[in-house]
Amino acid sequence: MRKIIICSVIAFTNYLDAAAELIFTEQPFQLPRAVQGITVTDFNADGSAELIAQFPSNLRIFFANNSEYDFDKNFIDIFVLSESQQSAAWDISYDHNNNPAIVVLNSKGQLNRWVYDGARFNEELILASLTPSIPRGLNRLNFVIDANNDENNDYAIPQFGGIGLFISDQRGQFTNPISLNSEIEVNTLLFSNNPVRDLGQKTRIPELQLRDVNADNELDLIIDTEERLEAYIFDGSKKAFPDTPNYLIDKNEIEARLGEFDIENVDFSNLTGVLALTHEEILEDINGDGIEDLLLREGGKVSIFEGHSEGLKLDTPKQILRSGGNVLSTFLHDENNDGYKDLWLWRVEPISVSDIFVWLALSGRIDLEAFIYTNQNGNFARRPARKITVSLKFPPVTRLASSFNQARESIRTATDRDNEQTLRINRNSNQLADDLAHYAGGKIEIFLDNLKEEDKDASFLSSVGYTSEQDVYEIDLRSVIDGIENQIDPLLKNTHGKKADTVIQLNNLSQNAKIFAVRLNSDNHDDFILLDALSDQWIDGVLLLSNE
Amino acid sequence: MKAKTSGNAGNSVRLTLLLAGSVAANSHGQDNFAQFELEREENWSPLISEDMNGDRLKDLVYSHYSETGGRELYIHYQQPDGTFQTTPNRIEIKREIIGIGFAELRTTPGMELVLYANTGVFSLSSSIEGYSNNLRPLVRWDLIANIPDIKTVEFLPPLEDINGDNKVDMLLPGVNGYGLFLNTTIDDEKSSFALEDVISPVNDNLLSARRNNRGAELNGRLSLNAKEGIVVDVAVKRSHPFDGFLTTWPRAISEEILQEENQPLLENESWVPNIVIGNFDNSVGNELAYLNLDNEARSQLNLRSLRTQTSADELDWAGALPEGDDLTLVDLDLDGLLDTFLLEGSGDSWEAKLYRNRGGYFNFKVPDQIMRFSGYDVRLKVFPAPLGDPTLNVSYYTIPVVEAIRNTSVTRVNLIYENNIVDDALLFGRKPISRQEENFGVENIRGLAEQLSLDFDIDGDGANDAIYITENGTLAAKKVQSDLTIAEDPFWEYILPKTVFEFKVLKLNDDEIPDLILRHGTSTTVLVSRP
Repeated sequence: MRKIIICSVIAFTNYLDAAAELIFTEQPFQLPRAVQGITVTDFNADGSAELIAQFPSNLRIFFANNSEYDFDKNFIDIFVLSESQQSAAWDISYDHNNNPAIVVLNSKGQLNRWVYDGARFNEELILASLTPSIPRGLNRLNFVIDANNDENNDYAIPQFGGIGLFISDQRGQFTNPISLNSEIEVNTLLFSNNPVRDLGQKTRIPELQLRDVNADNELDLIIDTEERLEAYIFDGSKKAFPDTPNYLIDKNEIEARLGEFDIENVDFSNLTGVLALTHEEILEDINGDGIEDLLLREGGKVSIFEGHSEGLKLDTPKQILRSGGNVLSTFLHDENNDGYKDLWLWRVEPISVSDIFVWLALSGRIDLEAFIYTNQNGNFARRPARKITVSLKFPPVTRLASSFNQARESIRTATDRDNEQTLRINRNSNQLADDLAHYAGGKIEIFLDNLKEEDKDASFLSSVGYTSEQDVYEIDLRSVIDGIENQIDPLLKNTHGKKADTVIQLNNLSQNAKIFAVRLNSDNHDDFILLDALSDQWIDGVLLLSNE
Repeated sequence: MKAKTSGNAGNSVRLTLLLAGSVAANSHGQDNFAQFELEREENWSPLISEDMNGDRLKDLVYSHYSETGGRELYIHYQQPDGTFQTTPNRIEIKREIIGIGFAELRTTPGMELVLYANTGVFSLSSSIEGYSNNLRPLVRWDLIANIPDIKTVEFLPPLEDINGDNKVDMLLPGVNGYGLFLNTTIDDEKSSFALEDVISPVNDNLLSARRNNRGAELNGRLSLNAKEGIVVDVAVKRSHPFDGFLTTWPRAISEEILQEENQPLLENESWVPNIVIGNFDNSVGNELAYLNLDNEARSQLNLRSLRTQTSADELDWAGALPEGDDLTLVDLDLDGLLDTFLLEGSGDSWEAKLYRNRGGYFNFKVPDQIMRFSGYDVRLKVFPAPLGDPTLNVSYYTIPVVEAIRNTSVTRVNLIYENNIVDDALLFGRKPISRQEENFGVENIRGLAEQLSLDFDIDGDGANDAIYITENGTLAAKKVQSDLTIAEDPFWEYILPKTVFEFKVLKLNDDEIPDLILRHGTSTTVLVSRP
């Protein structure tokens, strides 16, 4: 069933560039409850997005036909899992001829492409690797990447203990894989006496970091784990990554140097003294040559190592700064707007066990101090040019916990009528997601050009109202907590007192639906997908397809 | 790993006899402990004690990781004098292994290792070197977890007899339910198990509830970073069943996706409700208990006996639980059947509802007893009184404002409730028979490391003692007197140069005297009693 909704355009006088008549085609649909997720992509590059539904053991690709979807007929299934094949991962890829394909990695390490020729999918084996580490079931894995920026598909395959990076050339030939020590986070529980605890496993594989660290316009590979920071610098002449990292910071070695944490030796009059055992490794360009340098903080000692085109000069630090007190953290930010990043070194006052006992029953405050060392052509000034103090005030810790619980409970028990969602969307023609969709009470309100002021990310120190003239600030945690229950979505702040430019009343959905804004058709405006609460058998949904 | 052994209770160790008379009356020659100090890189990771070589002395087992050696199982065999081998026997943990348990499965003396892998369970003898001619498949089963951790291994307790035939069985969590494998061994040299039943604790109501979960999550963030400077952010987000359900390729079209900058390559979770094995009725063997939801979406406790596949879907009993944060299964009246209690509340206001097992079912509409407590971290434990009567120990912390300011201290309260013999409707007395309050401040903060425990009989006289960590970081014990009050002074104290932060009383040899595992900041001391 399809119907056309002509929306009431309530106020558009101020937005003459906005569409004067906003028309949506509404298409209700149902998907089986077994669907685990939907990926929206213009798979066949015809300007309209396909919907790829992931079932427990297969993928179903719903094709768009003139921006219409036939959920009963117009789809193709790819069956991936079977009795003998109980885990696999999939991703999307395109070849040089822009042929789309679903790439499937099975539990035996075989990598198959299901190439779509416009009518059907044809399967081809492209790689047989070692047994991968893939959780049971069908998994969406973002493993097709272009690691060396040569427009050929490369593959990051999770293996025991890390990632195998398989680089391919234009002919589809693979070089020897590079073994990366990426951290695969595994959390397993197979036994518990507690009937409330579930048994099972959670797996998380972090994304690979690819960025140009040596200013040669080629992407390099950075591996940052609990144990080491490694950089593989792409060799432009060989068009390849090295087998071993160009530089490696051994964090275990740093920790051994700093000393082991032993609660036996904790100074109860200065608990924050344990910060002397902490360390940070920051890769950023400090001297303005575009090449990332290394800032290494070990307790209160900050060492700068200069980066060069082939790595880092790790033998001798370019500069060493030492700070007393309890150094909490460091970061680099241009404070004086001279184009060079300055060093911000944050310290915290000593905190004792006595302080903590008092704070259990009474309110308290902790002062954080930022010492700013000016960057002078790649070297930091020996002395800080400025000190900023931020006082963190908080209520009694016991009350803090109960306030949190209260807020959580009140929101948890809120009725479905309170289901309210806001989305940053692009509804007009300026290519910016600066419009706002507000969904509440079964109604979508669209505010055009509403988010121009919000386009920029949260500005530096905006939470304390930072200015270059003021050095002392305060954050009152009590007011932050008091505001939880009355929390207003920051995206809604510019809608105060405004009428929506467009209102869409939906009658066929419960008020508990989830709204997504995605580009489904070719008119350069975001469309909407709404998914409703589940029945026993179906996921009910509605597509709202905009017509220009 | 470093290990240090001292042969007797000399030098750094001495048993302090604080009440000579009491000790003389109660001691069983336990003033001698063989001491073994173990230093591990991961001191707080599991330390298992099992008899691996059949000499009736329990050995120390743990998992160790190094970049060169990968994952290895280290076994320190206990020696006849109560010390342990300083150099462990090492067994490679193959990369397919996700969990390790223990069981007596072969005629060779001692426990075998039970290896849990992605698609099956195997046994391995630690007395035979290597895997070839040693590894034996026990069952094929698709375990719910299929990715091994590169550095650690999950330890499971020894297999136990589930159906009461005196042979160990297996209950294995899988994707579509638990596999109940009963022991069918005829030839002791070749253990065999047969799949008796597949039990799914997930019902349709639970599935729907999980997917329609509108729980609220509290996210707090205190962050220092170059982009935002300092951020203190507290937000409560109400979850939606379709959160993360729709993604785009290439990524980041919608606002929701834009917010998640560091999307992982992969994220996956697979969990099933726990099934607890326990004795819930007077029949032979154990029953199974698990939680899911009834038709009105209330949590319900299901009890189910073991039976053949033909009646697999039948439950013995199911009952909706009252509102409560936490359900604990415990034998409250020491009649051998598991009872239950629920704790409900928040902050410093808690209510415990106690329910007696009525022979295979519970009446959750009417608690057998309701107890209210004003304090934090409320814990309930049942222990036998000197005459064997069930006795309830309740402990919690209070933070009196005046004390907190004047003395910068918190108060730990220990209450003991005796078995109720007057009013049959109640399990324990309406009021505590003894109350102990201790103040902890900066000077004696070490004593807060662990709650006072009435779980163990430290001197082996048949009566449980009050064991605690002193303000000096030593371990001490006081007598629980016949009137159920805790004695003022300790009757023994164990002094080590390192502070004790956690203790466990257990049997590591076959004498009647308890042994101890004491956890320090970076090492662990094992004390084995010597006759």
